[in-house]
Amino acid sequence: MIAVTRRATLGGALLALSACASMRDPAPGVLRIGSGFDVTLTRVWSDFTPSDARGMRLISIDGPTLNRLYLAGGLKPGEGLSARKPESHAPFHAGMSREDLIAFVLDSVDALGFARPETASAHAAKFGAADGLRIDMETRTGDGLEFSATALIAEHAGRLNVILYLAAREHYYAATLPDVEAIMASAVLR
Amino acid sequence: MRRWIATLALACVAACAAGGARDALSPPPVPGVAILIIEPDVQLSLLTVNARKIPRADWSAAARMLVAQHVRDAVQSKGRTAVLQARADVSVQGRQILLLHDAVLTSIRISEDDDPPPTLSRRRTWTLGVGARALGEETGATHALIVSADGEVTSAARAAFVVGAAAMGVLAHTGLQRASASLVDLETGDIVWRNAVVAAPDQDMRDPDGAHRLVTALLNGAPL
Repeated sequence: MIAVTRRATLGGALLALSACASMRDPAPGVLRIGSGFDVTLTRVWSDFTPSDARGMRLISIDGPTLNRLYLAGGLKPGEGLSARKPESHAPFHAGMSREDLIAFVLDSVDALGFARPETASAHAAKFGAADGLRIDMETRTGDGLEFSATALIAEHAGRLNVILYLAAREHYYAATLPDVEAIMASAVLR
Repeated sequence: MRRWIATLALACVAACAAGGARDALSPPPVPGVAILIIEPDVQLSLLTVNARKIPRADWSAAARMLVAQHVRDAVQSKGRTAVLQARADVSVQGRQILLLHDAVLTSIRISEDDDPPPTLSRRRTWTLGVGARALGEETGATHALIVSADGEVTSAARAAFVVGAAAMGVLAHTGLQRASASLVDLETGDIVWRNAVVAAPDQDMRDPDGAHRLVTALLNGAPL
């Protein structure tokens, strides 16, 4: 019998991040992400942002165990996406190399409760007007549910801006990817 | 409102709020088709006097067999062919679908909150996607019935403690058994019907009669 842990699987790991959440469900329109950037949403999303998050929003369409979008704007040196930092976690610092940025994103995915994130591809991409990096990844939950992920990341004026999308590889990743691509394309740095 | 707390409560406590049978969300199986029954995932524990949960593989195995038997009987009693699929025999992609089903159940529980998030309304439909076809390959089944159950059995010492605590006006936690079922269209992956129940005192799934009563309650209203 396969090990299927039904209760609080991914949710439990995520909940370790924070206990609280806001109820600021973003409506279609411009959404400001900390001091870093704005994006334009074309549909309603549900907000699951931990209440102690700073400059970061966590939103989802089908619930965070199925898909989630992290938007982090204006991260300062020493900051990351997650308050839970594994030993290997390398926080942001100004002037990170391409390899450092990839390692930052992989460590962030790990710190968010996923297992063994791996880079599928990485290439230069625009984050608003800034030169950034687009990173596609594969990972899985602690129970083994396979997730695909993609991130758009760029340093601007000594601050880090991140759009990170994760979703179950079966059905849910592809289902919401067009919305995420539109959000990434709409980013305007501040 | 603390959505993450609600998520935790819903995910951990599972179906503590007994759910009645839901209306079918999309067309149910037509008469005569075979139903694939995924071997129920059953995990039972002993609740000790200090509220510690000790997994009991023997109880889980016994209950798993009884629940599977009664689910199969319920399907066959409707004149349908029941195809029982052991979880160990499920394909790699099929296992992903079962894990996805667990993740979907978590979202469904969030949607059943009093104040659900806007994209997780109670009325929305849920799907496992077309990858669900991997579950039914070579079975001839058009739908799969996925059943899971868990819970705790209160030890005698714990029961005495609970009674004593109640006498002093303190409410102490006792064991509960829960079960949920989903009927999945194997062509589309859509969950066409689902239900969740908390076992009544006479529905102990370790006992043949109790398991029968629990399965009867669980599948009440199922479009089988």
